[in-house]
Amino acid sequence: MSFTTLNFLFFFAIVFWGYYLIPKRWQWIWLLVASFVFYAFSAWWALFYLAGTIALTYGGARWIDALEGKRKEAIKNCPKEEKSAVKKKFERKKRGVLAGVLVLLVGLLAFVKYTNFFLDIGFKLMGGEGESPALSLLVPIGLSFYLFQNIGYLIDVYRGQYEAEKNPFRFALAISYFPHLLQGPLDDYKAVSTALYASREFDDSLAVSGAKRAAWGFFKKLVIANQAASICNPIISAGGGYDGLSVITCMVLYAIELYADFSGYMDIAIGCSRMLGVPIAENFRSPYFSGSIAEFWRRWHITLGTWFKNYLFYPILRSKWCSSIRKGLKKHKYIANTLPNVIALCIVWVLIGLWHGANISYVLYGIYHGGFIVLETVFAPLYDKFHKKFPKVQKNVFFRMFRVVRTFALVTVGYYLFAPAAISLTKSLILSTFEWEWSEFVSFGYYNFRELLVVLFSTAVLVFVDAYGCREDRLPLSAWVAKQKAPVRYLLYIALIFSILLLMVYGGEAMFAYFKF
Amino acid sequence: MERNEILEKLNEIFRDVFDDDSITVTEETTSSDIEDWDSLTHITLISEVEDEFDIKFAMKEVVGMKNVGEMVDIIEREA
Repeated sequence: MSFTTLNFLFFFAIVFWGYYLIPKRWQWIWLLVASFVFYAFSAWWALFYLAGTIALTYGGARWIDALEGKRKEAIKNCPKEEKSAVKKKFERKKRGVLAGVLVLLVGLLAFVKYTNFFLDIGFKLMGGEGESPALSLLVPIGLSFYLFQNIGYLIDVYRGQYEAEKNPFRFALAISYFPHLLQGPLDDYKAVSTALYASREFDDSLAVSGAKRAAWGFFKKLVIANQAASICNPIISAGGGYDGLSVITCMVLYAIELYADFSGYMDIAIGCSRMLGVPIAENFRSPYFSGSIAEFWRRWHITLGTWFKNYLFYPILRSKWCSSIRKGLKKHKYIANTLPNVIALCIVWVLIGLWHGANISYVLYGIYHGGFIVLETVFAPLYDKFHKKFPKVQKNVFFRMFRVVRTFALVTVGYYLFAPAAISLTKSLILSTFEWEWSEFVSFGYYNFRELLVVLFSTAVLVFVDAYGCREDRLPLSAWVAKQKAPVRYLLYIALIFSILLLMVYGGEAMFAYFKF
Repeated sequence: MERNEILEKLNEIFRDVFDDDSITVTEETTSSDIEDWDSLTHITLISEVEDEFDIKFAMKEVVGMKNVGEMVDIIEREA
């Protein structure tokens, strides 16, 4: 069920009222049932994937916990000289269980999402011509999101960050909770589960602020993203065929579309969840106001970045392999610190690319972004030297603006790979970019005049809101609005609601861009 | 080892890793107080601290440390 359908509005109205009307001890069960119903709307067979992966992870985590209990018991009762051997024995067993469940979970993801990708590569490598063989596999939506949620939980239990959840249904709720099920955010298990099991009184201030947040999300998705998509998607999927200026305009529109789409979805998810009294993680912080690619990824899809950092990047850097590089090159401090980072970044970014989909374009997209971050890491001492010599430059507003525009341009260039998700289209889009024909650009503007105007004005509002909120020392604009006098506030809210109703492009079951991942 | 002593040693390591002699860490210092303290330098920092005090942080400590004070707690316990 997509958030921007009438079905969802009815569904959420029932969930919301039911949640506060039923006895408090049933509240979490109500949410569990609602989440499974929500998922069943996408496809009933997908429930088997969801329930199966939850059962597997639940069992694995309980097993790891039981081994940990036995280890403590055994260590207490054994002679001192055998302690380390006992400890090692149980560590090995725990690692075995973790590895077994991870292989099954990742294997499932790999099988469902990547079988055809590797069949295709294998076929071409063996010199096959024409259509590659392909299996017709049904990919349940949101799979890579809730599998990551499962994997994160399992590793946390293995590391001893918290105990395994004993009640399987409570665990199932934390994973399947409908606001974060299909597209994230990838929540911290402990935080979200604690919030989900708490019983709640109706809180009107939370309900109102949640509804406002969701309305802002609807504006971003229905007005900005859908309107921008209606102009740029046909041209991107045709691989250009237009003059260069129109193609560049389209790529900029795509950058706006993707952000408004994905962050709009998050606003709706966070808003609805807040109406139920459950805080979930923020996923964006004014990403297009970043001064560098590394900063961009600290502000864009934040929870995916955190996931990769905690469960892949750090383990690689802490591996024996990286430690020995660091120790072996101790005399060359710069290389000793930089080389392991570069190795870990390369692995992580290829995988982040691949996570987006089984497609060589996505892999190259990961390498493109990873490449810039590697460069930033390698040249970090030079930047530092420069800024130490010219300390005023870093604080200069124009220099900051230059960096923001440069980063936005680099990110937009990356969308040449990401948007069409096919190398042949990327190639023809790049070729059309350099064929400028003024009269064609004018007629492109003429035919899309109304749509362009809507996107321009609504994006101006978005830019203003993001520019206001990009500084960490400042509260978001919504907090400022809430402090204004009633007439000002209501004028703004009414303007928001009317612009959604008047300007929205309703796409029916229109998918959100990140569903396919 | 006394907490003050640990903090003093940590201060040296921080100055060295972040290449900034103006840094003075307290128990309340967090990653947001030091501009260059990101996920990359975090692991470098952790490795330097491990070498200096001859300890090994568990992964849950590496990801879970909230401030320098918690780092001092672990060092006090392990070293």
